[in-house]
Amino acid sequence: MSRRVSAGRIGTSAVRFNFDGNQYEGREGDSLASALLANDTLLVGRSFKYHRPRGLLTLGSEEPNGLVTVGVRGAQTPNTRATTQELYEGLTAVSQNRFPSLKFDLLSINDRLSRFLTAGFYYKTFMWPKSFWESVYEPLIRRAAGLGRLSEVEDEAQYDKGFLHCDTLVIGGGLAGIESALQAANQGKQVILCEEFSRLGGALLFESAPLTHIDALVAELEANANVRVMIRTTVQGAYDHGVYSAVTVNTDHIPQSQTKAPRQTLWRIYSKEAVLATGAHERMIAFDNNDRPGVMLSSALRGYLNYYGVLTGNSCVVFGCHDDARKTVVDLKAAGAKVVWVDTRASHQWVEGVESYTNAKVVNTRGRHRIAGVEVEQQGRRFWINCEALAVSGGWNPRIQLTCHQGGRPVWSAAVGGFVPGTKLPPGMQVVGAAAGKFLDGHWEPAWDLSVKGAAFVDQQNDVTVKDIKLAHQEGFVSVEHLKRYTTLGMATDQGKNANALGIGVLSQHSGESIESAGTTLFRPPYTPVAIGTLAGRSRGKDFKPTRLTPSHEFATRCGAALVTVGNWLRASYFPLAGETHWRESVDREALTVRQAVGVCDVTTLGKIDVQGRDAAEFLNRVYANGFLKLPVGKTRYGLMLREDGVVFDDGTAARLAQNHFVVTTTTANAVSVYRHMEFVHQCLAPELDVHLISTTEAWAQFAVAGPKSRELVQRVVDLDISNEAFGFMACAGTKLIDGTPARLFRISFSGELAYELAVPTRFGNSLMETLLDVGADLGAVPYGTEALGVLRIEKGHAAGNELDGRTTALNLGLGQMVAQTKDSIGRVLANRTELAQSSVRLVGFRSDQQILTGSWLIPDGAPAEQAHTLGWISSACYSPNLGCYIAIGFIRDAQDYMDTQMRAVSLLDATDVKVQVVSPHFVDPEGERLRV
Amino acid sequence: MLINHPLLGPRDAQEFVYKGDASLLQRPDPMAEDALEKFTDYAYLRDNPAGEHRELWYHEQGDRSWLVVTRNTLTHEILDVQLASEVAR
Amino acid sequence: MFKLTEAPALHAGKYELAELSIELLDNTSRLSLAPLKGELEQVENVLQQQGVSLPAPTEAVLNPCMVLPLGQGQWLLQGRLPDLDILEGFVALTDQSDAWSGFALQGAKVPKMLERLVANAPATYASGKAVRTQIEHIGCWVIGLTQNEWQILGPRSSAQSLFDALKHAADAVYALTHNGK
Repeated sequence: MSRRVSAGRIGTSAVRFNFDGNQYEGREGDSLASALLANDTLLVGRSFKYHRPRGLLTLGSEEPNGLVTVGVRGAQTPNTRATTQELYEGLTAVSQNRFPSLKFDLLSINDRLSRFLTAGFYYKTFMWPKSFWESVYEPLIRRAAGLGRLSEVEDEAQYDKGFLHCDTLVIGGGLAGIESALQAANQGKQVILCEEFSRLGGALLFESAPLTHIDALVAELEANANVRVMIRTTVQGAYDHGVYSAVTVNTDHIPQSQTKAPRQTLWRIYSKEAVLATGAHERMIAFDNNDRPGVMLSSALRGYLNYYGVLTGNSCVVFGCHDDARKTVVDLKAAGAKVVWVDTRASHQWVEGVESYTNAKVVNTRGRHRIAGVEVEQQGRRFWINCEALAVSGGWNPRIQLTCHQGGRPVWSAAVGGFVPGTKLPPGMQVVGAAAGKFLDGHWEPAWDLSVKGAAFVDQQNDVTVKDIKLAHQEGFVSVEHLKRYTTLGMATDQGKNANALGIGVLSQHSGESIESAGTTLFRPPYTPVAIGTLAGRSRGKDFKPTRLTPSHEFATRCGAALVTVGNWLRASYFPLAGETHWRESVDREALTVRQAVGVCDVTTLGKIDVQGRDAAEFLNRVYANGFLKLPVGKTRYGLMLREDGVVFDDGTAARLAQNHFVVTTTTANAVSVYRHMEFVHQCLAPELDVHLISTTEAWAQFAVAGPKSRELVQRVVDLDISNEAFGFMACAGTKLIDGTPARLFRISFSGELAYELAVPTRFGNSLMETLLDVGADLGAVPYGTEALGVLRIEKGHAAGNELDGRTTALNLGLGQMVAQTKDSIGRVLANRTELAQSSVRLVGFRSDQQILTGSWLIPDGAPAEQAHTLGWISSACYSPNLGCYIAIGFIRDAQDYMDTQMRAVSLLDATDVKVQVVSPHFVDPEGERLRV
Repeated sequence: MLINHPLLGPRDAQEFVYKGDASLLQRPDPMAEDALEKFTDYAYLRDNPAGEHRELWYHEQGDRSWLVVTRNTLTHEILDVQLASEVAR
Repeated sequence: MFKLTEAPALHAGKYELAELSIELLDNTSRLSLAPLKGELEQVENVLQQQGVSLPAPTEAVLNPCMVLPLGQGQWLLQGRLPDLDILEGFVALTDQSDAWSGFALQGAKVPKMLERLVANAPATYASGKAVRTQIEHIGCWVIGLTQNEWQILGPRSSAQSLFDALKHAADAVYALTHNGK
């Protein structure tokens, strides 16, 4: 029976918890694993493939079997290792991978079918009949596969991030780590020490010797102002240039109701140096049925005894090939257990009063849901020994995972009997202590595969046996990389911590190739599993990206406007009036009102870049395809910007407020990339130019005031004569409003109507929107949003983002003349490439009495809807309330041949096939008369 | 990854936007006879070395400087960082 | 006759926790200043006459007005702005008053809060230093004033998102100090 025999090194107060529906009691300081062991519960799970009953193998984060689901609903966390889950009052956990229960698992039938489920079986089965894959095999496999279940509700925990800087990062808080940290701190360095466990001390905590020395060192460390100690913190990855990731578990040991702290914190740690002091963990030996509950690593069994005060069995067999096994023998005997020591080696240092067998090996175990006995073979003779627990000491694996993260390759050390760090380490890292293969003691002889029948488990979590390794080798998967992928050895959540070295040893025993030569597979971050929520931090839901609010946001929300996300911006898409129930009602009304009276729209989001300097005009000449040197002060000009490969990048306007001062606009979507491009041209291609750029998108609130009554409305607020004579089409000016508010006015139009854009400092934006509508009430002024804005510009035939899709050229857009040939500008040379210059693709318009879908392909009447027959595509489409029909603009080849003809707009995705008439893209005011009125 | 900005010291690469090969600094003469051929190479051909690579990074979340970074594409070691405006002169 | 009214970047009072407060700074004057080519010395002289100096790329001038290094050859002035009329034609100026919103952070716990938000080393935003970086994907300034006092500038349109990020970090620090074992 497994029970608590002493207080160990943990607390004494009782802690109640629930496992698989049963109430238990543990102690403060217990892990879920130790508490279950203290309650004689050895069976904790069923294995992945064969559903074999399994118990705890280890007491640390490398645990392969004790995977449970902790918590319920939004806090449900599958695949939690019982060995790392700290116990708290009311903790609820269930076992996994079993139906209907741990004791009676129907899928344990898989164990009897094991000969058909060997490595790579899925490459050789489930192929016939072909139709069965989708309808029968896959659904069945999905039900049976997987480890643990998701709650399928949102993770209710909050997660956090942080950034730390230090001179020395010490990874591991055992003796080697603590000593390294103190040494660095005493040299005046800023030190961060990260320890995975809930307290410092490392492996010494789990030995029987008193902790006086290490306790003193810990006290010294915690008192040192240069050291930041982070417990419950696992360093997960070593990245370029001394950047490390670490995860601190803040609240997994506290009932959720008692804390508001973020559950876990993901740290990015910048450190010039790092000391890897992660120690080593023990490994198993492969013998038949070595996976029964009650079979544990020797150091784990004595660790449960010394730290948690739990004796796993009254009678224990200790089996190993390493001197370390002796410590377990001694500690178990001192606790009053009956101990038998089986050693593969010819001799060892005897322990008084302990039955011992040398030159012997364990070859089998028995027992159903827990071990009842082991079969020993010595000099050809076999016999059984009854026992309640089996401790196995197969050698030590230094925890070298982080040394691989920057391409380092561990090397086999025959002396250590494990893989130790290679010569290439992450820059600034050194490895100390057991992690470097330095042990205090330990004579070792290899013991890999001692199986008789081959049902000897190497990777317990993925159910990979010696038989699988031999099969893989036989089928030609001889390299360790192939062995891993073919058998899935090392690919479970413990990522080979328990399986790799043993598997390589077994392979080497059978292939004859030395371990040195075979090498090992490498390790990647993270070191232990990390919750997706931890990686996301705050970046979830509405916090996924910042929200940028327009200056008139308050006005828009007050009127009940529908809002739409445009990049990071939140813009009003339409302003429904009382009684309007469908968006078309509002949008049609807004678009009609602008053309009949006047509308106001917040266009602050369009990029605004201030360009000043003695060479400002020359600079614009370089970045725009058309010319700006001769633009008069007080005038604005449309600007076409190309990429260097001749394709259109963006369009906008440049307003010359003074000789050396322009204000440039860009599309909303390209504001950032155009600015970046302009800085590139300035700093990298033309650093000799005297030009200075700064974004002013945020500083000015800007509103489009559009429609035949726009002049009347704007004149009522600006302190400037804006008659057609004084302020003609494309004029611009820095000015002020009648109340003295500074302002800028631009007479530009996106809609094809008489229009202005009026800008004031952002703090006045909301008030200006309200004032314009108030002052213009008798004119019928309405606010309009992005939907109506889109309808108006499509009716005008104005290209926008949909048309500037990264493939179209100035020529395709009907703007070929705008590319000046007598001056250098970005993209001019390659725009003249034959393929581009001879393209017959042009922007045209389409009309229909049926809705036209954006993205539709254009197919001639009577032709099949196939790629070979496509003439072009629809880039923008809408209902036109001003024309009373559906319209679109798009691109077709040989456009001149198709004008005024009929074709079809086809979308196979939406199953639409609509007759359209090809027309000019300028549906409204094609001559531009309204603009100039 | 850290980039040692000549004016600001080491900064996380996340503050930067990567553009590509620093050969972009050698923009051909657009008025020359062979401009089309030279510009085609300039726009489309890259050496893509496994080893030292001179490349352009833009400090978008910092001081908006363009930098020429010499970085080993195999080891990520950064050997040199200069202001592009100094290199381009 | 109409009279336009001003709106704040954010409707929020001072957020106060133990040893940590966050407050929106409203109605601040700001200007960007870039001397034209070859005019740096002249510009510096005019500024010096008014007691204003231009800081090095990693530093901040705090008095008589704040001066921050915006980029190569470009600075941001904030507060009691100097008279720059005499420099017309020699400098590129833009009004940046409404481009930014500022937050004052005060308290001994602020450094613990900032280490959850700012990837840059604390030395880069110590007293008299300023770093232009990002907080939760929002481009911003972190400026060290006196001991226990910092200022954060972020784009005005994202004031609410930035304030939410600052509050969240403050809440986390508070909860971890008071709950976490």
